Amino acid sequence: MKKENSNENFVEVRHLKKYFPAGLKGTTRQYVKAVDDVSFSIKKGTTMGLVGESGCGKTTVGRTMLRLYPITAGEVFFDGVKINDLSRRDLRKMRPRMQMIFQDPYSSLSPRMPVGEIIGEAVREHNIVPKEDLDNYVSDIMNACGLPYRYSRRYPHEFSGGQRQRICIARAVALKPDFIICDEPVSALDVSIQAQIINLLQNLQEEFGYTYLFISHDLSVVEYISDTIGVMYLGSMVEYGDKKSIFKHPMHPYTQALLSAVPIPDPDHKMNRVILEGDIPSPINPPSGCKFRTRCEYASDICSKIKPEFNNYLDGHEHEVACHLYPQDHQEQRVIS
Amino acid sequence: MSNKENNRDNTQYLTIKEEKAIARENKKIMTQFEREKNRKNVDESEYTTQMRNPSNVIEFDNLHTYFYTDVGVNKAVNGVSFVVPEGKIVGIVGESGCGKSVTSLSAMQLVQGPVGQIVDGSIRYTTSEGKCYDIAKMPRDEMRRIRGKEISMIFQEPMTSLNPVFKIGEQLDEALEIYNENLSASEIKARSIEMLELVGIADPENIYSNYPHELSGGMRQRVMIAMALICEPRLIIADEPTTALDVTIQAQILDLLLEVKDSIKGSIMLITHDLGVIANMADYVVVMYAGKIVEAGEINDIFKNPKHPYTVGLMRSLPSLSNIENQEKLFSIPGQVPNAVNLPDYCYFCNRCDYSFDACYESYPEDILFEDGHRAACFLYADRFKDLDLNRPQLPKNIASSSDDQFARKIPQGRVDFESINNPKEKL
Amino acid sequence: MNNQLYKNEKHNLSAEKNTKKIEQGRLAKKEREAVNSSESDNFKALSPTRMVAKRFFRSSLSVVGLTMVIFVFVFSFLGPTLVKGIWDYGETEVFHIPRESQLLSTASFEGADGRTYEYYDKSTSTITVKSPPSAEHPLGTDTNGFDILIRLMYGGRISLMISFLTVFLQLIIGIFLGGLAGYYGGWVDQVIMRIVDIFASLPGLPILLVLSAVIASIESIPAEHRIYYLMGFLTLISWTGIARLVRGQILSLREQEFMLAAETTGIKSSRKILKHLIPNTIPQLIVSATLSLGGVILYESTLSYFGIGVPFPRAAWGSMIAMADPSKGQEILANYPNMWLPAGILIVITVLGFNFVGDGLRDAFDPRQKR
Repeated sequence: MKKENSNENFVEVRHLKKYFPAGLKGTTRQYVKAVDDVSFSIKKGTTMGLVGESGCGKTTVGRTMLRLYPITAGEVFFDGVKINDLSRRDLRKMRPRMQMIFQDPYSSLSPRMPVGEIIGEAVREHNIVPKEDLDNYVSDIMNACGLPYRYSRRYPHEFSGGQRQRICIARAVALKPDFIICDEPVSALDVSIQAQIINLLQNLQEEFGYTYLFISHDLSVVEYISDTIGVMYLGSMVEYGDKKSIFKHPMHPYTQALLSAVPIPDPDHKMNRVILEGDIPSPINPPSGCKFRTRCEYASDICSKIKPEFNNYLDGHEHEVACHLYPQDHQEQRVIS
Repeated sequence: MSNKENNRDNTQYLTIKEEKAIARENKKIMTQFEREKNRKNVDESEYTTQMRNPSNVIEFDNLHTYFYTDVGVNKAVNGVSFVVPEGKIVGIVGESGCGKSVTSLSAMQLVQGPVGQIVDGSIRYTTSEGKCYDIAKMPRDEMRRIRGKEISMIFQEPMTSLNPVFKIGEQLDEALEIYNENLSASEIKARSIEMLELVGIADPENIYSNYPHELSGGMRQRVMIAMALICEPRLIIADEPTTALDVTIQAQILDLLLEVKDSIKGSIMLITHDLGVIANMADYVVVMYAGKIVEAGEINDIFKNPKHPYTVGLMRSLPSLSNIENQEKLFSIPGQVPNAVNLPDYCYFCNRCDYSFDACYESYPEDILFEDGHRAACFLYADRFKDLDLNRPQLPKNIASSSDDQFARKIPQGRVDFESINNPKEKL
Repeated sequence: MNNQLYKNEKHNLSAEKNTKKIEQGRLAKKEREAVNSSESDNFKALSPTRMVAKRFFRSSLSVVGLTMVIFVFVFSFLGPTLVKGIWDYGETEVFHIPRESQLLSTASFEGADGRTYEYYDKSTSTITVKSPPSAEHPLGTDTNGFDILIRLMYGGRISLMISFLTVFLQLIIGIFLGGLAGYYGGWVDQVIMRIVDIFASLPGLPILLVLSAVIASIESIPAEHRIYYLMGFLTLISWTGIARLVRGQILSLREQEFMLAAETTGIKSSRKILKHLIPNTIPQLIVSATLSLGGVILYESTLSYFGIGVPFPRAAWGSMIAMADPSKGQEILANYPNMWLPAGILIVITVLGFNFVGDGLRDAFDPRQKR
C-alpha cells in the first residue's frame, strides 16, 4: 500500500461518482446520478461539514467513501491509501480506522444484541485490545461516551434516542479510528440532547484528534462544528471552503437561499428569505449545464450550456464556487446583467 | 463479560406481581372511561359551558390526558392550561414526549383509546354557531361535527397522511362533501381546485387528478394544508408541519401558513420542537416539559427574557445562538427527560437544573406571573424565596441582544462584491 | 481512555458564591442522584420476553390454543408412562375380553307357492375384540383387541415427534439456504431460489404416495424405518416456505442501518449472518415453525390413513381412523364410533392448537401491535 497523494490531506476525494441503476427507459439503462463528480479534501484533525437538502447525495458520498457502496468512478484516498484498489481483505483490515455514525439511532443498532456486545464485538474481532482486557476496555469506552458500564447487558430498545446515539458513538470510538463520518448524527434528537451529542463529539475530537466528515442538513449545527464546509446540490458540490468565509459571504445563489431559509430563533429578526421556487429536479435526468439553473433567479443562457467550474475568487481564503455569476477561467470576464 | 456478573442489574424490570396489579387497575379505569364516552343521546347541557374570555377560540383548562400502559400510568399531559386567542398563532415547544402532540390530539378527541384517556380538565371551544362546548366531555358521536369542520389538523408526515390509492381530488372532495351535503359535484370540484390554488399549487387542475405518490414532499404538505383548510376551520392544529421537509421547502410552507391563516381568519396552534420556526411564526409561546407547561407568554417575553431554567437552557443549547465566533463550547442541559410513568412529586426539571435548591425537591412549583401574562413555574421567582441569594438564569449578553452580529447576518443575494470582501481591512 | 471526558461536558455555570441554602440544595441533589443514579433507572420496564408473553396471553384464542397443545403433550408423553406404571401394558398389548354378541340373521327364500318367505335366526356367539367402553378400557378395544386409549397416546407421541423432527430439519435447510440467498444475493440467490421454486411446485401427496410405495418394495429397509424416510421426503418438499421467509427477512434486514454499521466495523461475513441477521429473523421463524407443525401432523395422519405411514402394529392416529374405512364395510363406521372418533378429535385439537398458538405468537411478536 504505497502512498499516492499529498501528505497534507488526510482524506481526499477526487471526482467521486456514484450512479445507481434505475430501470430502463426504452432500450437505454437509466441511472440515478446520486453523486456526480465530487471532490474535496480534509486535513487531519479537522472537521468538514457537508450540507444539502435531502436527496442531494450527501449521505451517498459518505457511504461511497467507505466503499459501503461500490464506487462508480473517481478516487478516494485515506491517509495516503487509495481505498478504490483495496482487496476485500485489506479493506476489512482498514475498516476500524474509518468509522461511521448513522442518522437513525433506532435502526443502526442490532435490536437483539446487548450493548456491551455491540461495542465489544468488532474490538474482539480486530484484536484491538488483549482478550483479557476487553471488559475493562468496553467499560472505559462506555464511560467516555457517558454510558454507565452497568448498562452493558441491556438491549438497545431500553435506551432513549440520545443514549442510543451515545452507543453508536461508543461503537465507532472503540475501534480507535482516525476518521469518523457522522451522517446526520443529531437530526433525530431533541435540542437539549443534540447539544450533549455535539459536545461529546467535540470532546472526543480534542482528546483523540479525530478527523470528522459531518453530514447534516442543519446549517446551524454544521456552522458550529465544522472547519470547512461543502454545499451540495443534486449530486454536485456547488460551493466549498472555509466555514467563516462561506457563512459570511455565500457566493452561490443556492447557498444564499439555503442560508436565508434557516429560521433564526429570534422574533425580532425579520427573515429576508430567498424563497426557491419549485422542487429539486430528478437526479435521473439532471438539468444540463449548471444543475441549479432551473430554480435560480439569476440563470442565463450560459448556465444551460456550460457546466460551471470550481474557482477561487477570494484572496487569502479557501473558498471555491461553481457558478457562472462569477468569471470563469476558460472564458473572457463576463458582464452579468 | 462473564466475570462481571455483579454488575448485572435486574432492577429495571417489573415483577409479575407488580405487572398484574397495574393491569387490573388499568382495566378498571379504562372500562369506566370508555362507557362514559360511548353513551348515546347525551343531553347537550352536559357538555355545554361558557368561555372565560369570548375572544379566545379554544381554552385548555387544567387538562390531564393519561395513558394507561402496561408499565404504569403515563401522565402525558398533566395539568395544562392555555388559550388560543382569535386570529393568533400559539406555538407549543418542547422535546419529544413532553406531551405537546397529546395536548393537540386531546383537542380533537383523537387520543388512542382505551389506553389513552382525558382524565380531568376541560377544553372549551366555541363553534361558528356560537355554542360553547367542553370537548373533554363531549360524546364521541357529537365530536364528529367539530373535527375537520371546526378544528382541523395538519400532520407531520405528508408521505403517510394521504391515502395512496385515491387521487388528490377525491380526497379533497370527500373532506368537503361530508359537511356540505347540499353542494353539487361540480361545485365541490371547483372549490377543491380553488383550495389547491390557494395553497400555491401552480397547476391545480392537473394535480387534482394526480395520485399522492406523483407529488413531492413539499407539494404533499401543500395538499395536506389545502385539505385542512377546505372547510374553513376556526382553528388549525399544525403538528410539526415542516419537520419532515427541507429548509428551503420549509420556508415555502411557513410563508404559506401565514398567508392562509389570514385568508380564512383562523387561529393556529403550531406544535414544533424548532425554536427557529416558533420565533418566526408565533404570537404566543407555550413551553412544555414532561407534560406540564413550564413557561408561557408572548413571543418577545419568551425569547428576550426567558425565566424558567429549562427555557434558558434550551435557548443556550442552540448552535445558531451560541457564540460561534469564539468557539465556545455549546451549552447542554445534562441528563434526560424523566420518564412520564414515574414522575416525582417535586419539580420535574430540578435534577437537570443548575439553579435548583432545597425547595425544588419538596413540591412542584406553582405558576409565577410576571407582567402581561408571562408565567413560569419555578421557585426561583417565588415571592417567599425573593430574598434568598440565588443564582437566577440569564441569557448571555450575545444571545439576549439581537443587534449582535450573529443575527444581523447579512446574506448577499446574487452576486458577491469581491472588492469589499477582498479588502484586507475587513477580516472575516 | 479518560473518564473525565464526559464530566467536562457539564458546564459549571453557577457562580462561586453560593448561599448555604443552595449548598444544601446541591447536597440533597447529590444524594438523590446517588439513589436513582440515572433517570431511566427510577422507572421499571417490562423485559422483552415478558412483553411478548403479555401480548400473547392477552388474546384468549392463543390461551385456548396453548391449553390444547399442552393437553395433547401431556396426553401423549405422560399418559403412556402413567399407564405403563399403573397397569403395565403398552400399545400392542392384546386384550381378549369375551362378550356375548347377539346375532340376528335374516334370510329369505322363494317358496314353492311363489311367495317370498323370510326367516329369522337368533344366535349367540362369543367375541373377544371390539369391546365397548368399560371401566378398564375407557374407549374400548379395537379390531385387534388393542386398548384404544393407550393407542391414542402412542399415536400422539409419534405424530408429535415426527412433526417436531420434520420442522427442525426444515428449519435447518431453510435457514441455511435462505440465509445464503438473502445475504449474498446475485447468482447465489438466483440458483437457490430457482431450486426453491422447483421444490415448491412439486405436488406433495402424490409424490409421497409413490415414494412410500417404492420404499415399501425395497426389502432391505425394515418396516419400522419406513416412517423416517418418509419424514425426510416430507422435509424435502416443505422446507421451501422457511427458506423464502428467511431470504425475505434477510433482504429487508440487510438494508437496515445496523447492517451497514456492522459492515463499517469490518467483522466477518459469517458473523454478520449468524449474529446480526439470523437472530432478528427468529420471531418470524418461531411463528412459521409453529404453524407448520400442524401441517406436518396432517400430512403424517394422511399417510398413516393410507397405510404407508407408521407401520402396523405401531399406533398412529391416521391408521386408527382408517379402521373405519367405509370401503371395508360400514360396520365400524356405523357401530363403533369409539374406535375412530377420538383419533379424529385429537388431530383437530392438535392442529387447531398449533394454529392458534402460531397466530397468537405472530401478534405477540409484531411490534406494531402496541396495545
